Amino acid sequence: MPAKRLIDLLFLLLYRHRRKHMGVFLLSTLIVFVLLSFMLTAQSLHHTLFSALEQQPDFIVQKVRGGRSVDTPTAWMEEFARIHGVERVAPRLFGRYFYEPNETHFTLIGIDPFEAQSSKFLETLVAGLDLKCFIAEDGMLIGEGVKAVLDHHHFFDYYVFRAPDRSKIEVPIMGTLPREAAVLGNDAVLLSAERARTILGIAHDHATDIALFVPNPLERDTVRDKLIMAHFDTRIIAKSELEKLYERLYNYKGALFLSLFTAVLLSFMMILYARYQGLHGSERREIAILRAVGWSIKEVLSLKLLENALVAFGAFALGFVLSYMYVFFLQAPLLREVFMGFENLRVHLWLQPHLEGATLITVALLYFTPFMAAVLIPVWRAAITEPLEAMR
Amino acid sequence: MIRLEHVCKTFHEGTPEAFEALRDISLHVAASEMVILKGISGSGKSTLLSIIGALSKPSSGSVIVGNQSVAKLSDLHASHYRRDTLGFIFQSFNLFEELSVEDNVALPLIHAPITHDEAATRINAALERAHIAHKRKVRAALLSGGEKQRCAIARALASDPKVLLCDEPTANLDSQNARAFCDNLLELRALGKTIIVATHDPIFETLEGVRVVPIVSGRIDS
Ligand SMILES: Nc1ncnc2c1ncn2[C@@H]1O[C@H](COP(=O)(O)OP(=O)(O)O)[C@@H](O)[C@H]1O
Ligand SMILES: [Mg+2]
Repeated sequence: MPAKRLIDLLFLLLYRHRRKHMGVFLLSTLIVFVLLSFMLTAQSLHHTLFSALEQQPDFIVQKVRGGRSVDTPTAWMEEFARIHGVERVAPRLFGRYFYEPNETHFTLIGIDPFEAQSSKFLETLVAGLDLKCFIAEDGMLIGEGVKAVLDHHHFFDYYVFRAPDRSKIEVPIMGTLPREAAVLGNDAVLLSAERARTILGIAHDHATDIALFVPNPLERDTVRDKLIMAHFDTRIIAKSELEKLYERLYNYKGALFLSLFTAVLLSFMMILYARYQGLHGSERREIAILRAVGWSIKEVLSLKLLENALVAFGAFALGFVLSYMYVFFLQAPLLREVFMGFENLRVHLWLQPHLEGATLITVALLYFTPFMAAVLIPVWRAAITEPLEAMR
Repeated sequence: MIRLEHVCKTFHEGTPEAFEALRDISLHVAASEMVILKGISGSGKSTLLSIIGALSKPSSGSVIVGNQSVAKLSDLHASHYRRDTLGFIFQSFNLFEELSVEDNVALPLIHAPITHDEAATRINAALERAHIAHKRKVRAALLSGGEKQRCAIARALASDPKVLLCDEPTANLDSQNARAFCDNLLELRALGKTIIVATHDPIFETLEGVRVVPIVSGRIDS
């Protein structure tokens, strides 16, 4: 027999039970939306954080005195460069600048514009920058957060910093950092190394800390040992530790959400089950009629499966589209705060569209399995009862 | 054609609610015979039909239809048996109201292993024999009671079965339509169908050449 009649029957069933289907459809869309919004936000953040981390140096060495970080002598660099396995050593110049009117901090980052091209991280930050102009005017690039603050105080073209010796330093604003840089750059001010030194009060033979790049992971342990041996008064921050820290933060949140999801899913399943448990008299009758005219239990079940799968799939698709728009177009209002609560609120992450097949499959499984079970068990029960009873 | 031997049916067997609906029913129905199971409500007529239709299983006894034993069929075989050998007609028609007459008639054939053309031929034949071909495109909800029952007959005939089982088929029909229904059954018998009607409508006893089997409290009253 042509599939057309089966399809007609399918749509008839959808239409007949439209009320029930509508309720379930809306509920399911909501569930998928919530589930996927969490997942998409988490994934996007994870992706952004970890790809930013990837560009970080493998080790950072800071000088400490009495437990406090102090400026690190650049003379150490030569020494570190000689350690076997260290490919590159670079001084880093950065620090916090207190912006009084707003009681907020900017993060000042001193860059060597030529060096910038060799660092992937800086490369993205200075992508649109005219280097010659930057050097000539000795200006700065600011993050969106900084721009908002300065605009508010009518500093559209320049800002006047105060150095520790009370001198005023006027720096022209040359542009804002690209959105993709927001993960680290929202409160950032990029300026020349020289200017950064003056404003932050860092001596010429010192830097904030020293970055080491060790491309071969097998050599990192020995490099670390040698760094520890080299000086007593140092703090060594390994990228692997940062990774672990991020991962732990992330997993902690992940576990929280997973338990939340489980709770939500369980109640979802119960609601569905309750809904289908009291199968409509008309639905029982329908199943009974089909059985009486020669359909097997399997054939009846597959029809009902198809009918409900259409609803489930439609809800999934709609939930997916809605959550995608909510997260990436609307930037997940409310939800984002949940994720970034642990971070400085000034850091304004831009959620970049990022979608992993595994996420979609996970959510689909979490959703379809209880859905289908909740639907099919009652239908199956109705299908195995003796049809005449339902048709009286 | 149909041989029932010592069929018993007890509902909720082994519990305090156990209820013997059928007791030691033995009944032989020849091919193209029309048998009227006559009895008051609750006497066990529907239960007997559902056992013949393999919709429920007897507690004991044997049921043979054609040369097939249907008492212990698996679900798949029982459904094939119903599809190929049986047509059911019910008191309350049991149509899909939103489907057209034609689509209702096609229901039994949806999973049958036949071609589109073959199915169309069978559906046409069934509609003709049930005198409802002129309403084939009409939604079942819009039919009168008599037309609904004719649609139900057509659906029962769709797979050209040997046996028709009717459960109180005239209970929802006026006398004129009941008469027409009976005439239709007689025509079908003439075409070689074996027919069993469970009813308490006296109209069937007036038909020519039918055998009336009275059922009382789950037994054949002789
Ligand atoms: N599933 C069931 N469980 C318990 N008792 C049943 C069930 N089905 C039918 N009965 C009982 O069996 C008896 C016969 O029912 P039925 O065959 O429907 O009678 P009829 O069709 O002659 O009116 C009735 O007393 C009815 O209450
Ligand atoms: Mg009955």
